[in-house]
Amino acid sequence: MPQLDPSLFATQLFWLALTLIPLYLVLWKVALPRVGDVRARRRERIEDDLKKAEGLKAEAEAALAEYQAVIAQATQKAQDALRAAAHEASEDAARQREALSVRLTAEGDAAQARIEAESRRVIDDIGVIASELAQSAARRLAGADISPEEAVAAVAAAQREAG
Amino acid sequence: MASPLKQFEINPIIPLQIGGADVSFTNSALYMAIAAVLCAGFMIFGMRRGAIVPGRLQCAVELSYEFIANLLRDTVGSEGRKYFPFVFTIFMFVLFGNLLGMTPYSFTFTSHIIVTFAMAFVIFVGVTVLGFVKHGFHFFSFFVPPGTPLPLYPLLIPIEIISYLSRPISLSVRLFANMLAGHTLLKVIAGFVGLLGVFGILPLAFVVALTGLEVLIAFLQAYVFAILTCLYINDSLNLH
Repeated sequence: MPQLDPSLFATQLFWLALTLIPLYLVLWKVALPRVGDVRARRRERIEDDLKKAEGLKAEAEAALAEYQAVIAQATQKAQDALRAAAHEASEDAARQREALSVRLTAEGDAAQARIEAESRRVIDDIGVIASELAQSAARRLAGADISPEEAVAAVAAAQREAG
Repeated sequence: MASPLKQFEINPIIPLQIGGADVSFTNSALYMAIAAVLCAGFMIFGMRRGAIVPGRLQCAVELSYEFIANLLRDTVGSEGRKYFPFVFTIFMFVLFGNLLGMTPYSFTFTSHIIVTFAMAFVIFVGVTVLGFVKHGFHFFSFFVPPGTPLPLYPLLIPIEIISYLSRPISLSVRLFANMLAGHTLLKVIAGFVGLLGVFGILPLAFVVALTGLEVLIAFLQAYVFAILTCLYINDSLNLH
């Protein structure tokens, strides 16, 4: 077994020292600090980013609160304006309705008066028409010539009889 | 068929003598150098951009970093950070050595007891010195488990001392034996592939499965080596 040959020990020990010690020095002084640096930098960066994110979150929340306040104010203003407009509109409508009803009432009254006058005139005319009718009817049927005065008197008598 | 142990032979590539000792650059030395260069290259090339959002290779580098950092924090605590480069180097060197050994026709330097023992011995001496520096002579109280009744002292103290002194042996033999046994087994079973003709498919399938297992063991033994190093450091710092 070559492992148990002491004549080979010296070279192995020599080269072990000659490779392991430089490796140790290189890793200790060069390689491992770089790894540590990168990891520390990464940790810092992550913490930094988290802090920044927290700041931004607070900022965003403040902006949101401000936005909500503005919205609430605007809503309030809009509602006020809406209410005022509605009030004004309803008052306006009431005023117009009243004016309209006054006008309509007046027109209605006028029309009523006209109708009454017209009907009175028609009733007055009925006597004349009836007398002329009676006059011409008497001439055609009886051949009698009745004077207009007689016809009028006869119609008036008949009107009185009819009630 | 070559002996299953032939793969562990050490052959000089560049003969070299220093002070009468043979320190030739061998195949073992070559793979130690490859492991060290690959490991350093992996760590430095992988981090070349040092990106906040890592790519695949940087992820692998950071994963290994985090793995050992967590291991050290879980076993030793925050005062173990000082020893992180040491534990990390040991882990990566053993891991790369084990994994390189899984490449066909390569050499596994962790399958040599002298290499694993040298590393284990350095760890052992290191943690012992650390214990004395940290606690002075109070470090000897480590050999008396807390709550031991006085009559048991003569029995327990030698046991504790022996178990403490056998640490470098158990640490080194565990890694060495795992590598030796795994690679020998692979070689022996692979030897049957040619001998059995058509039925050689069976040992071949077994070798394929065993190779997967060996890769797992390569990781596992590097992990065990690292976690035991952490535990020894913890013992020296905190005495039980």
